[in-house]
Amino acid sequence: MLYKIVDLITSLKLTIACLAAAMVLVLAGTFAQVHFGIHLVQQRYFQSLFVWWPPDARGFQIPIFPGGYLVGGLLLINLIAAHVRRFQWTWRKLGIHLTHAGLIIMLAGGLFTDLFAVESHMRLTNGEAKNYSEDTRHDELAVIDTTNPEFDQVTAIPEKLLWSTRVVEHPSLPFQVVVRSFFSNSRLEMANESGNGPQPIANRGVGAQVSVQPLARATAPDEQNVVTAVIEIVPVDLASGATHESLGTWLVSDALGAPQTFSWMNQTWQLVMRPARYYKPYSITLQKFTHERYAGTEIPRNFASTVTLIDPDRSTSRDVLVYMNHPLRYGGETFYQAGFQKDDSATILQVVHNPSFLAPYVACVIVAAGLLIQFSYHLVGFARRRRTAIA
Amino acid sequence: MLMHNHVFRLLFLGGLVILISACDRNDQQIKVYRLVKAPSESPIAEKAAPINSATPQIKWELPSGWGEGSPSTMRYASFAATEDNGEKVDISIVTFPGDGGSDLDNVNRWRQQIGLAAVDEGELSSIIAPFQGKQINFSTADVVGPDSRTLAAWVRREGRSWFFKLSGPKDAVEKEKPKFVKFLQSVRFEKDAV
Repeated sequence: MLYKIVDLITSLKLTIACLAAAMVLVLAGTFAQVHFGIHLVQQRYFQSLFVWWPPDARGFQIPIFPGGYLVGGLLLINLIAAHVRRFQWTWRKLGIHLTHAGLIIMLAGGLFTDLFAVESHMRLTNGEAKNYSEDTRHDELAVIDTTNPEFDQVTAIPEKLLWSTRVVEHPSLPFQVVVRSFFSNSRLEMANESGNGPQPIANRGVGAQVSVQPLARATAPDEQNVVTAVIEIVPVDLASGATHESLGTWLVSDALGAPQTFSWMNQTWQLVMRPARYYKPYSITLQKFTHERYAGTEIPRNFASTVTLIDPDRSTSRDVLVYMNHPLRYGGETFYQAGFQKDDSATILQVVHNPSFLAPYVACVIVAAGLLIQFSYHLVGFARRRRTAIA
Repeated sequence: MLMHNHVFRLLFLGGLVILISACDRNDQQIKVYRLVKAPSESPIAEKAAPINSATPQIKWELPSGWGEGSPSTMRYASFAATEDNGEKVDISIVTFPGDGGSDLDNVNRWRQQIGLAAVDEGELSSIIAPFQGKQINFSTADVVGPDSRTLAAWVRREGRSWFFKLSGPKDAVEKEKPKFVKFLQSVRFEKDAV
């Protein structure tokens, strides 16, 4: 039985099946982008073990095709297993070994990038300093305890958790956050006081005057979703675990600006739905943004940001010029010049945290070296045989 | 062969660990952290910040005599003015994604707020009038009640609606009207970020 499994996972048939499945997946994913947009397709087709149907249901779903993780994972296991099983150390096979090792690094690097890389943005106006970047595609519900005059304690609940969970509990919160409604895209309107038309679905804060219309999730790359949820705050007795009477329901949405405040047991709390934040132990200050255009046109020739990087832990304070193809790399993150406000009052830096960013470069060099050695070996052998034949 | 078996078992386990960890992406985890209260995070700075990065930047010139109004999470900006006789007017700027409700609903809500009966679609055209600012074409409504009056102007552009309202006692609103008109003329939108 075990031999059969070993035969299967080391077989060339599995390699071919995986490559064929990958081709089908890429083709289906490309077509699906028309309807779902690139980010949703990435999640559903490539960052999953299976492609599920129906795609939007929260309840019963069936897997209809292996997803990117399964195909890539199997291919990686197949490649490693086959390599280990048939491994014979001879100089003649050095090229083959190197090529395989390069492919393994490339596949593993791809998987690690997918699992651990985080992309976000930092928008800075002239003179502004920030120690966090924001995820433009994922929101979070920040529940902030502002009671202490020295610091705020933030409990950030990811949008995905609000979508998938009905009751959110956490040791940092003396209450349950009960998700009454969740809209991955929506439009907010002032509710009509006459009682006609859509009515508010929250009873506290600004939400008591606002109605929500659900919208289909935006799929175009330049469209933004307005994530909205209605949450109920139900205090919990930390000693007994019993719940108290609800404090009411709040509407939280990234279309609303300032946080909403409530009090419980002499503590003041704020609720705000906002783009997910990634805080850093250092800060970036925009000193100057320059934008050069081709003479007589509005076409950008060069745009660059002079920023000051301050890291108190490492006693670092230095000015850095960030411009196209010349990012700032610091603390495992890379800051690229990504955009700017049209009146040049703000710069937009793309912040990429990718622990395995070197993997593709290393893999390409190793594969290229492997192929070069292998072809050279065959070329030399062929030339020798030819010379012998002529002689 | 025994050695091989061990290697393959390990490989299997390793593969499973990778696949299982793939399912547990950290975007589902609650994060808790403390932030030292910074001066930049004062309520005023928070209120002045744009609603989100996709919101166009709006600018205006503030008339003399208008001070900061009571802050509200609903409002993009809030101003207030006090007349010589002590009467106060409230100026609000509110923005919503989308069309912010139909004109009929909005006008009727403003009417109800100052104690007037609702109107129907037919009467609406006589209430709404266009107003040309320096950069923007507004729709406006002047709603006069028994004691109070509301001057409202609104514009829908690039998927958002913006409402500018002056409301308060009838006489005070009449006195502030020229300033409100000048204020509306000064309103302009900067281009979106790219």
